[in-house]
Amino acid sequence: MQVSGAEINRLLLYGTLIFLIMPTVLVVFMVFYQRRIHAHRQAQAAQEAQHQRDKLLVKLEAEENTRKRIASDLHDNIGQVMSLAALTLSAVDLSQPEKATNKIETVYLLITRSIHELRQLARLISATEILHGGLQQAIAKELEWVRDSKVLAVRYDSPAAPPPEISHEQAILLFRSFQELLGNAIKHAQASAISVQLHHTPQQLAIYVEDNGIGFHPPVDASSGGMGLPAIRERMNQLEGDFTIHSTPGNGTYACLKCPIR
Amino acid sequence: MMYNVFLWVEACFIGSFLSYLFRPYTKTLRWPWYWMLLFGGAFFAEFAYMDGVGFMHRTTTGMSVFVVIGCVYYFWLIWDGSDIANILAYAPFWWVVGTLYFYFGSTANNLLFQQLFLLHEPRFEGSVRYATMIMLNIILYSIWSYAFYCRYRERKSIAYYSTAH
Repeated sequence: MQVSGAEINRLLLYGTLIFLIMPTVLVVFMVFYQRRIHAHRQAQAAQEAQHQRDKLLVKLEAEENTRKRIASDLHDNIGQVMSLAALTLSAVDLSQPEKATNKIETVYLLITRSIHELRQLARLISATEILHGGLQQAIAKELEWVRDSKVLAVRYDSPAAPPPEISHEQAILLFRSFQELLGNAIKHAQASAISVQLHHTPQQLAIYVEDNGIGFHPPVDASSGGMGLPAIRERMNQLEGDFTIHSTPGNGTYACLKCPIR
Repeated sequence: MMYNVFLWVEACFIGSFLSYLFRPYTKTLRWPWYWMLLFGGAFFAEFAYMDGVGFMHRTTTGMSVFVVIGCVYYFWLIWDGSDIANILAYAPFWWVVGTLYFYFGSTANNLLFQQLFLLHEPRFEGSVRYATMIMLNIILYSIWSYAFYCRYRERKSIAYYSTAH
């Protein structure tokens, strides 16, 4: 069978076009789709990396704050008290038994106070061990220690049913925030009573801390303010939770920590 | 007869290469055996039908169709491409693209085997089928060359990273 060159050319052209276009469309679609997916994955990975960096920064900041608090407590409280105890002991004159007895009693009180401060520091450091029994129990123990110190009247309301399980990391962040609020009530609020309430629903775990202290003007900006408030806010952001604080001078302080349960 | 022997070599090569590419994505490692069973069954059936005479073009057509399906299946396997950083430089992808072009084209060629064989093309000193096969081979080997170049670059970069530490 003989056909003209033009017919063969046309046949080849059409055939080539048909059988090139279909795989080409498939390949082009595949390339574009895969590149888009890859770009999306990269964006997700970058976001995740940023989130991890933020988490690390918060963790480092929290650790730094704890170190600062330990250093400050060691220097301002225990160091001072022990210096005073040493000074008092050096001034003991055994030829004057009555004065000596008084001074030794003072030293005894100072050392007792130092032991008390050291226990407080130990509790601050060892949140991991405390949390082994669960958050509910850890809060109870922390408040028991405050109650024993007789500095504040303590009230603790917690539900009979144990709260739903949260991860250890979540528990640590929540407990640290609670410790910070409790520390503020003891150190800055000059309160005589503190009320703590643990409340939970299947979706959420909440800790309410209320004191009858001198109160203050809470900072408007979330990242500013002293007394560890930015650190609490950072921790609660990390937990994707919520931190609210209400206070006015002379009317005490009411703080609430809310953590979602996943 | 010689082309029928080459057909076995081709089927073994394409089948084993595609199976190798499927391996990271599928659980079964028996693809080569399934492939040889299918191909061998078709070949010997046609061999018996043709009394062992002539080229087994029905088997060739069937093989082309299954290879095209295999290539599309590979695309489906790498669809989300979680481990593919840049598909334009991903050697296995380009190897499959070359194979897809060749077998997609040769399916049509095989379907029109008789007609194209009789069409005479003087510029190629042979049939249109022969001319088309030359074009398909040029496409195939161009894309495969690029695929092997991608693989060479990949190996070179791996070697670089492994010696950098």
